[in-house]
Amino acid sequence: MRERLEAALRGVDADYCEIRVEDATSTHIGYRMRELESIGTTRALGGNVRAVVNGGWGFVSFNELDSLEEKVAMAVRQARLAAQEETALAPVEPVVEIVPAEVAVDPATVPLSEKKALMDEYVEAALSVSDKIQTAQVYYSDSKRKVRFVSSNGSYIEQDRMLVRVGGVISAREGGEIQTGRTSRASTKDFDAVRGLHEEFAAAARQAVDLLEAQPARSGEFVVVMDPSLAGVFIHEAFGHLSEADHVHENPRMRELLELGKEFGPSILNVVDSAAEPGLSGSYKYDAEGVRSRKNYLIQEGRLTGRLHSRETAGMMGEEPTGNARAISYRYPPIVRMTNTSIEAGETSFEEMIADVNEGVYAVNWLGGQTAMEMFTFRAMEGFMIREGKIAERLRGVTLTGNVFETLKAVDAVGDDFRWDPGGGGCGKAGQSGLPVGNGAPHVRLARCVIGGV
Amino acid sequence: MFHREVLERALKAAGAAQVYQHSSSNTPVEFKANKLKTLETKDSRSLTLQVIHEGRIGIASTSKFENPDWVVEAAVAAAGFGPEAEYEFPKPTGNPEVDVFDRRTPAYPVERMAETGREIVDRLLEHEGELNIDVGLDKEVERTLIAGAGGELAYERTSFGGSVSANLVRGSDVLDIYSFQVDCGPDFDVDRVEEEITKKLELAKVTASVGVGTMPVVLTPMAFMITVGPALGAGFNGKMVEQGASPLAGKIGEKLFDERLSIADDATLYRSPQSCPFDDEGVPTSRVPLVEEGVVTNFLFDLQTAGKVGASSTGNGYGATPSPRGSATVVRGGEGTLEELIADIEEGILADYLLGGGQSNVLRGDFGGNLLLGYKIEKGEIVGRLKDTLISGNTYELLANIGQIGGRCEWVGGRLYAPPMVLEGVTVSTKG
Repeated sequence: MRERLEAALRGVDADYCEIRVEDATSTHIGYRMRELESIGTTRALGGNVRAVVNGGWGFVSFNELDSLEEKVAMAVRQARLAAQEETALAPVEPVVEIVPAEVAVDPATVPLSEKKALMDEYVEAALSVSDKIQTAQVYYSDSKRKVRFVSSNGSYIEQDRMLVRVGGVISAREGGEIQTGRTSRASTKDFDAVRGLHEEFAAAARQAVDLLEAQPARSGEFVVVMDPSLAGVFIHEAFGHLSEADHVHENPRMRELLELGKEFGPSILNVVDSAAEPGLSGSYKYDAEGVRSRKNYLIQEGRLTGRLHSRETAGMMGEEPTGNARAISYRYPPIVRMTNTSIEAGETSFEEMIADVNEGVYAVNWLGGQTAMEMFTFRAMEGFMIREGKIAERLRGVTLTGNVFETLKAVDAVGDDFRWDPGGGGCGKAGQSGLPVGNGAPHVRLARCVIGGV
Repeated sequence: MFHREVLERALKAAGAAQVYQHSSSNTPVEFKANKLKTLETKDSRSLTLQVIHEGRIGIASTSKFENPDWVVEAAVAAAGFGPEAEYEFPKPTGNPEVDVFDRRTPAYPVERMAETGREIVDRLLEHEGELNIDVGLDKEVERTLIAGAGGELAYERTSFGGSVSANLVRGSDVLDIYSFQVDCGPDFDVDRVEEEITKKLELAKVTASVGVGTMPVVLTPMAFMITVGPALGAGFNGKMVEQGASPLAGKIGEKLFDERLSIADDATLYRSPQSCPFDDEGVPTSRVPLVEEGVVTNFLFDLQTAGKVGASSTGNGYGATPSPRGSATVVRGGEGTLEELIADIEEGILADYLLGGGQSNVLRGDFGGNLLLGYKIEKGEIVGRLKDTLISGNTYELLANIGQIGGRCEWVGGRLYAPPMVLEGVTVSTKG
């Protein structure tokens, strides 16, 4: 295969050209209540050619691996048609490396019947919590993927990757009221990481039941304390997307707004994106352009110190490539993406953080989030009022919304209790959704944030 | 033919089998930051085998058209644990009325798509030189094939469409305006894009403010899709109904909505890119009325879900692992233009684009979203753009007593054809 790929690129008439070929097998099991609703196996083989000529890109994706030379020629032809200025790719050293997946227990060695039996137990764990449980969806998936990458730079990289994930979405009902709890666990190393999660599934079910009794959140501006899960999503959604250089590099106004060195928050705030952190959902050694991953500080002591780059955005902005070009599959060209994004630990304990809050909101766990540049909206799974320094009544429908620049400046305490979210996340951007990412944070307090109740 | 080899072996190995094969060829042309950036050709194909073996369903998919035995073995293995089948594979049948192939589309040159993109960028920049414009144009040719013991059936569908986003940054203020169009043929209307975007830019020049409370909100068809769309999508989904998760379950024949409201799911619309002669299970499509003058009339079903509740598939089984899904949603128009709806409002909001619309408790009907593009209405006139404003409410409560339904329906990206609508008593929250 290596020889075929390298032969197809020989003598290519473009500023740069690459071929990626992916071979992946995945299995999924889906339950609704006690009923196994779907079970199946998928095999995907496909690839793409990407070429750039004078700043214009051509991209050809396919399932048939024959006549690769023609596909290369077509990508080059398209690139020529889009060409208009200079190509500016940040230089990288060619790499030849085979990166195996470091897997302890491979899901492929676990029989389907055993995976099914485990899911049966999780379904029971959730359903046994209460007769108010209305639906329990439990899912399992595993995938193994081999990606081969060859470029006109002289790189040849083969990377194997495994991901196993289980999760549950459990809803409880009383009268017309329906509430939901969730749990998930992901691992890139070990099938055993998704065993023994009975208590997590029961906890998600209890959360749904408890929320039935919760008070609807009141709208208005509050002191808000985010738990580590929610704070991790907050930094991904509200700030992380702004640090993706493709939003910035061709827009002089955004460039000015996001000038390195600018104060973005208090000195206790440190934000990192790192695919080099091993074993997390967003971890890898080389990105989709063959660039080595590394730890990238985005905010250091409150100041904007870095951003995430592809080779092109780095080249255009005269900055170093960071190894953040990713694609969800061979059907898509790589774009600038986050990997494992986190707020680093601070020094405040959770008790200290809420002790001087007279009235505030403790927002816990996340349902989802979205941004449009400066504006963000995200929803906590549940919340609690904080009254006179103590956690008080449970809230439902807690939506946090605002302007990211103002909200980051409002961070006034960072906890000492950092953790990576064990569930792993999926991120969507520009039509490429479900990209595995990691989020991590300690508890974080905002001096003010708008809560929109529903 | 690979699919015939798979089917033949599957029919031998399992009691019953059906193959769904989908292939597509796309040619996206992308402008980033006012410049032509990328031309792409994306060919893709996949084959999915569904078997019913000893009464249970098993599924396997592949894009590697090499080893028919692997597919058959994987599907039969899955059937060992699969759900019990509540249906039999039908003889694949199409609705002969449906026409979704425009022969001009496959032949349309990519160079002309690039010219269209260039024209959009140039025209918009003439209005506002500081705009940062992205344009994505795409043409697609798809082929869907169903093969089973009862025969084989295929259709081809074309689509041609695009999205334009215009971004304007002033200080820390960011304004994004979008415009979408899609059709079976290459009839992208550049005038319409220009008119839509420049009109919205003009209206957004002045900033307004709004208090906290409840007030009438005018939803554009886009805002209708983002706010109440997800709840209606879930509520009428046969799967949610079968599980009792939809609040509409068991309510067929009941008047739960305003009597001026009629909604249908329609996969038969002429040259609409969501239309098709049959769904991904080989069941013919039809127009399915969901709400008739306020009364709940139907839910959307695939074969398995319909089998469970003793109903018939409505031809809404889509996907390689089929489940009920809507095609194009059509909301019947009432009277009056958008301007007339606005003119009747003393104090309210015109909502066009929202962020976070689908993240609330969708099943219950809740929606909530931050206005990305929304305007304040005072004494019947738009007075300026609203920022940091969240609107929220409950779909079922608000659609039970609608303020007004406008007359002119518009397409939203081929998925929704709806008029503007005034909802009364929407909750508005804001900062400060």
